[in-house]
Formats: sequence, C-alpha cells, structure tokens
Amino acid sequence: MTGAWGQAVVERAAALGQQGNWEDALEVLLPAMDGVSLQSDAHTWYVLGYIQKELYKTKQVNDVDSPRRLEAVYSLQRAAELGATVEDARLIEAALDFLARSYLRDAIGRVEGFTVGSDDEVLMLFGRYEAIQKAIDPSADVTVQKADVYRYLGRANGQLLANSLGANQEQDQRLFDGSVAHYEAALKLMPGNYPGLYNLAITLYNQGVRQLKRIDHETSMFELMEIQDACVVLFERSLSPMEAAHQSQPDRFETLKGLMTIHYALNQPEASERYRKMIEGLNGNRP
Amino acid sequence: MNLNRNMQSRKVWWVLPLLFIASIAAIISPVIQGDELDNADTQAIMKANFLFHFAASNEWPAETKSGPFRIAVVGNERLFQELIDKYALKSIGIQSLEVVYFEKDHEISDSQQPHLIYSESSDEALDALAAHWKDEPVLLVTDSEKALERGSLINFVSIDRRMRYEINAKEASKKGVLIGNRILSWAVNSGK
Repeated sequence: MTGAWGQAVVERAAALGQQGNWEDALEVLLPAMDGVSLQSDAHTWYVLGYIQKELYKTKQVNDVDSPRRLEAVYSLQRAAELGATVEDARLIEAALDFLARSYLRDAIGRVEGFTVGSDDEVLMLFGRYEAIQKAIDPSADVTVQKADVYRYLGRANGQLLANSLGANQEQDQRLFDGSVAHYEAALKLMPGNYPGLYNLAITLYNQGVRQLKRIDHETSMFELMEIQDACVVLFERSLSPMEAAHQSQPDRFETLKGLMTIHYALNQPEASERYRKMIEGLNGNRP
Repeated sequence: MNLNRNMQSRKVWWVLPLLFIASIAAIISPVIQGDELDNADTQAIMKANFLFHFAASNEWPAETKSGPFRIAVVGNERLFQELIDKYALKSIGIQSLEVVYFEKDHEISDSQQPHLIYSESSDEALDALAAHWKDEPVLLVTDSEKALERGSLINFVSIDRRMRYEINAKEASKKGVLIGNRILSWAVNSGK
C-alpha cells in the first residue's frame, strides 16, 4: 500500500520518536502526509498520532486546549477507521484511552479550580472524554463518571455561592440555578443517588435561608411576606429530594436533621419533632 | 518499524486506569458529602422582623415614650440573638431599642417595664403572664394555641406553611396600645 519512499519516511519518523526527538519526528512525517499513499495508510496515521500524543505529553500537558492532543485524537481515530493491524489496533486503543483520560483529568482539575461560568468548559472536556471512550468502545458506559462530574459542578457552584457576600445578586442567582441544574442532571443519570438527592435538597434549602438572611430593619411587611413566600417555595422544593434521600438511607443522621430542619422552616412543628425523635433514637442506638 | 518499545510494559495499561479511577473517586467522594445545612434559625429570623414591625408600627401611650423602647424575649435565646444582631442599634420613633432576655416570665422586672413581651408560654403559664401585665400598656406576643383567648394580644400562627399572626386589637386598645393599620392588614384575624 505504502510506497518505498513513504515507508522510509514513516520508519525515519518512528526512529526519531524512539530517540525522544518527537518534534523532529513530526517535522519528517507531516509534510509526507500530503502524499496519497500515506493518507490512506492506517499505520502511518498511527505513527503520526502517537508522535502527536507524545508531543502533547511533553510540551502541552498543562494546556487544556492543547492542539496537539486534538490532532493526536484525530490521527489515531483515522488510523482505526482505515483498518489497522491487530497489533496496531491494540496500541491505538491504548493511546486513545490515555488521551481520553487526560480529558477527564483536566475536567476534574477545572472543577477543582472552579471559577464562575467555567461549567461549559468542564462539560466540554468531559464530552471529549466520553466521545473518545465511545469511539474506542461504542458500548462504553460513562454514566457514573458523568453523574459525578455534574454533581461536582453542582457543588462547585454551590461553594462559590456560599462564599458570596451577596453584592452581585444576578451572579448569585446564576450560581444557584447552575448548582440546581447540575444536581438535577446528575440525578437524571443516576436516579435515587443519595449524595445527589441530599446535595440538591441542601442547595435548595440554603438558598431559602439566604433569602431570609436579607431581612433587616429596612424590610417592609410587604417585602417580608414576599420573601417568606419565595422561601416557602424553596423549602418545599427541598423537601422532596431530602425525603427521597431519607428513603434510600433511612438511618443517615444528616438527612434526618435535614428533614427536621426543613419541616421547622415550613412551620410544621409536629413533623419536625418526629424527625428530632428519630435522631434521638439514632443517637441512643450508637455504641 | 515498531513503536512498541516506546510503550514500555503493557502491564502499565492495566494498572493506570485503576489508579486513575481510584484517584478521581478520592477527589470526588469527600466533596459529595461536603454540602452543609445552614443552621440559621429560620423562625427566629422571621419572628425578629415581625417583632420589630410590631414595635415600630403600633402606637403606645404618651407616658411610655421616654427612655428606651424595651422588648423582652422570654425563653427563646436564638430569637433574642437575632434581635440583638440585626435590630439592637435601631430606634423606635425617638426611643432607642433595647432588647432584654429572660429565662422565665416571672423574671421580667416590673421596674423596667417592657413595651413588648415575647413569650412562648402557653396554658396556665400564659394565663399568669397575661394577668400580671393586664392593666399595663404592654403588648404581649406569643406563639401557642388559643393564646388570644388567654390574654395574648398578638399570636403567631402557621397558615399554609407560612408564619402569620392573629391579633386581639380590641384588648390592645383597652391597654392603650393602638395597633397600626399596616399590622392589622397582614393579620389573619384582627379580632375586629
């Protein structure tokens, strides 16, 4: 398939790569890729992808937008499409898997250093991880990781909101909406997931409390009633996921405390008292 | 030509994903449980603001308009703290607001008569409290069942999961405390 000249170029690039001269390897191989014979050769695309992957590792590993990584993914996927040998196919899969995981690692890293509005970037990075994994194995199931990322984003938005001084209400509302939307997305993927349910309930409840804390001597009776209405809506919304979390794990202290507190906030003292007694019972059973 | 040798040992590819997944799980798992319930006392926040409005929007007799405007809170420390935190430095008309706390109803000093008492007493204890301040221009605010029948003038009630209040405006006026229109208009039962 590949002409003798082409083969020689690929071999030379591979040899340079084996010596660690990845840039020289790319410089040798890339111009030759214009040739028709190499364009349709799976092994050549694999070598090119491997070189690009190594260049990403050595030069651009801290760049989430690394063009080398994108090029490597493209080249390796092209190699797979063209029908690689069994040995090459295995190596292509391993290289793609490495690149996919690098995207997941970057997505998690972005959440750890989360800043307002970087949700889309995190989801884009995760999307690339998912796409590559599905390209390697169409039956790959990344639901658990995806739900984790959504939950992690929900938490990241919630953290920024919790630390907000309230000076920018529009931004605070965006953070709250984002946090709820991410938790709901996580629950859509993993319905009944305890941490997702619990964290969603807490986010909704705390937002209600945040509204209440705005009340001061300048709050009129009308405003007070309006704030109370808004809070009741949030407290009622928080009740359902907290109850679901409690049903999934009935002996968890934090959900019992959550239900006690939400019912208290909803002016339902009997229900609040019922959960307080359950907490007492729980404490009594502890060794 | 073969890039195989650059791949090192193939075993690495079995081990790395496991390590990777473990590290992601380690990053995520403590965070999932990290969200904490805000422990603020939601009812105390609401009640404190209501009490402030009751103090500011009702009318007390002229003889009570010297010295500080005194609110006595009995048996609810978090409500007392909320009032101190948000309202203690404010004034009611020309009077500075003073908030005092008592464990029991009977501890309220006659010599430092409050303008407004908030107590969570009920039944006979409430009867006794109401009887003690019966002829004084003191607005007794409570949070218990059938409190208006026992001498309270304003009682917090729960309506449709919201905190509201009922008023015995007639009894209040007999004591010289005129309930303001704004307060009357939001009451669920103004006893008119």
